[in-house]
Amino acid sequence: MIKYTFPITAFVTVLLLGVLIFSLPTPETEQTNSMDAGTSYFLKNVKLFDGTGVVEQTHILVENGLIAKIGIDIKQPPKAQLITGKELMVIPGLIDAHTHSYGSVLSDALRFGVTTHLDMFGPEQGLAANKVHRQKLNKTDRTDLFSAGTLATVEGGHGTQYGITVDTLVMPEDAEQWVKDRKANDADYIKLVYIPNQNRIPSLDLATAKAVIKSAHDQDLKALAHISTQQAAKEMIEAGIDGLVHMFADSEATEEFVALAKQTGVFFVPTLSVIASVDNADTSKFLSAQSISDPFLSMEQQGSLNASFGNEIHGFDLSIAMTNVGKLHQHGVPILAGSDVPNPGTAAGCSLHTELELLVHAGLSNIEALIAATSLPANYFQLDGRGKLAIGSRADLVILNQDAIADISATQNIHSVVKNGHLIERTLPETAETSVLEHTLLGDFELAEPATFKSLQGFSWSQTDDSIANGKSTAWVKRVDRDDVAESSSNSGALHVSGEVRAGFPYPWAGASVGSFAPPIKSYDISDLRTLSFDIKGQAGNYRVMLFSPDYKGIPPTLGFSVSENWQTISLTLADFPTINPKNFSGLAIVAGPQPGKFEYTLDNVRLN
Amino acid sequence: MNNSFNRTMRSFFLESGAEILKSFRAPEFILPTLLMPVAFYTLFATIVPMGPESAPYLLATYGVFAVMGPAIFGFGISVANERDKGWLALKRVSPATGGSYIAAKVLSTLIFASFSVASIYLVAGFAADVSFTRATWASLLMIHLFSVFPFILIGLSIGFLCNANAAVAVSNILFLSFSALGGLWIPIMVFPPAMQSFAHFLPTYHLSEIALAVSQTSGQGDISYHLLVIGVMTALLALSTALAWSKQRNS
Repeated sequence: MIKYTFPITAFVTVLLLGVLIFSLPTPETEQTNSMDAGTSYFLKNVKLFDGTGVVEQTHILVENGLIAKIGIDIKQPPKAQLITGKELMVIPGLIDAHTHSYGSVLSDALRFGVTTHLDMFGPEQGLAANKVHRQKLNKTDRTDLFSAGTLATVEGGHGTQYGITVDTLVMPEDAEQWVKDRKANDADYIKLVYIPNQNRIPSLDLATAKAVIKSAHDQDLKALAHISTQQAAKEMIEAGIDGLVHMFADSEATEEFVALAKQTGVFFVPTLSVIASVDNADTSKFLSAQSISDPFLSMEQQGSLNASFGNEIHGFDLSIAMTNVGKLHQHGVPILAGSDVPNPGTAAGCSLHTELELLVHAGLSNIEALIAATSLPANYFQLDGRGKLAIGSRADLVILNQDAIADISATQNIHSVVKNGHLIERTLPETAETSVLEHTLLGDFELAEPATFKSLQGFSWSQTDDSIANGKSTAWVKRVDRDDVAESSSNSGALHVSGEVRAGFPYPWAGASVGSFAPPIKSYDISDLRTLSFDIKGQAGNYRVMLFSPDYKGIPPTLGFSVSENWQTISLTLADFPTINPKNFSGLAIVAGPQPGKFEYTLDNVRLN
Repeated sequence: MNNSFNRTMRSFFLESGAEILKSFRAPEFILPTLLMPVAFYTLFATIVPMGPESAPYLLATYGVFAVMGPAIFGFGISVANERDKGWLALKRVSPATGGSYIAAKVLSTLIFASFSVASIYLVAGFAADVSFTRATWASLLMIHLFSVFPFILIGLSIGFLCNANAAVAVSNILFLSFSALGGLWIPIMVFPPAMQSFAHFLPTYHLSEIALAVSQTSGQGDISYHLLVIGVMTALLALSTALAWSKQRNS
């Protein structure tokens, strides 16, 4: 018997492995399996902009994530849900041709009808997963992402300042391997930074930039460039670049330049939105301001919209950029809509709508602006099934309450967004119930251990540091007796916090926090309160208070203060915290950083008044 | 000639049958090496995932982890044990051939490694939403099963060189340090640069990079470097195993 044990076991094992390989999910099977029934919509009597032209009145049937039928003579199947209304207009899901899609950018963009993002620099981790994600037709709450991955720059150059590891180049010989690595890391195209002849920040030299363009073309990838001057744009076009992802705003395009651009077929993604922000330009005369005051804006969107670049950077004049867009467009140079979100002054999703308004003011017609955000980028980036609404296209579409051919700002008057054939929930997720808070004590540290310190219901004290974000800082907390009051006093306890802030995360921090940080997150409405006060002493230096809100994922609202070796009472006005959302307060942290070093402080009587 | 071939095959089938029966009859040894990888993978890929890409990423690295256990422990400890008890000496004077003794162990290890890897694939595919094309699943499985060989050689060397007690300790040290430092548990990118460079000396690092490249989860570019290193490492291990084999024969 024993001599048959091995052949039988081996046979069974091989058989089982075979069955396993053929039953594991593949991207295609997921598509059909998870496609829930009943996601069929009949859009009745709508005006259609299909990506290139207009159909005054038609019906559209959306089925299984795709456009199944279009026509005035098609019938509504019984299971299809009816969408109809007065003067509805349907346009393809919008394509933003210049983004940096991290954090909540993809979900925020989708709620504003932007269904495809062309990322122009970000971390390469996760690109493979995104590639799989964007091929599916599943219900999703994220915009599909195409990406350059990282960018071609030099050590210390533009792109290296954001805390993302960037594989830099030194000389032309590096280009081939560098492009190969991008391809292996699932980049869809190549972006390089070419900003020579200035002394703010180092840049690729022309020879290396040319080598990157050539290697990209050799490996069948498009090469795009970040430029900021007409001269640099000219050199890149001469070097064979496929597209320039900003409009230069230093000088008006010369006749020769326009002729060169036209002759080579290069396209521009002007990103007027971000140029306006750098220029601190008053865009109110161009914008309907509808999307900027939209109730659907998340905290992140409001935060980046209200942010600014701060110091003015020379050479960015919005009116020059708009003139250039107009000139180039007039001579037939392709202009693609891109917003460069979420740079300061822009916000995911809504800034593409305002970009369209800016493009129209620069000289595009309304329909040309729509084409610039739909079929044109789809053509240049070979995005099959996107940017056009035809039978068999992906059912990514935006239903508008108004006719955007008549008024471009109508793209902001959104009736609903459909992605992969599913209606998108545009309202922001509700957070747990909030109770209105009157003046309160967050911690006096009289009793027990940190985790059980008395605080608000659902709140607790603990140490906090950036190790939760893969940083390297550390912090410890312990209850201590105050040395300046008698032990018998009812105010004898305090919280001692010590640790070390270490580099290793873009915004290192370490300290103590109070609040609710694990789901279900408890939050309070503190809009009736004015100040945060606490007693503190410790190693002299600058410290910060960060406020938390469950709907905020980026850098939290932060305010600095300084500590001395003697007890003092710090009082901070809550309204001074930038982008605070007082209706949804879920905690705060008192921390050292971002400058590295050891710290210690003792904290007591933390109150909101 | 034909007769001697039949004898070898018979010896091999008997050996391998016995090897498999042993594992079923004494499951306390093989079960932990089968269950630990899938338990870890379930924990880090589905219960506390670190990001949307962590399940497919960790699948590539935990697959290497899954085959390493049966190989290092199956060989290191069991060969040392059998040698210590005089079983190997007895075999040498029996009609059984040394080759069939090793081959039986290799194939039964491959079978257990298959189950270990398969259990992780099941969790990945049906609990962690990992989806690859058929070809990718198949080539990933091939890579993972081939990964068993360098570890078998390591296990054999341990078995030939150490006594039973030392083999347990040495196997554990190698198993844990290869896993942790080679980036099987936690993505190598989060290590400090010095540790990342050190990983280049470990077979686990190169095998997981090959698996990552095959699954296209986070390909580090060209895999020919990793294939070359693994080839050289395997050749060196084969050499050292041969030396260890002749050393234990002569001792």
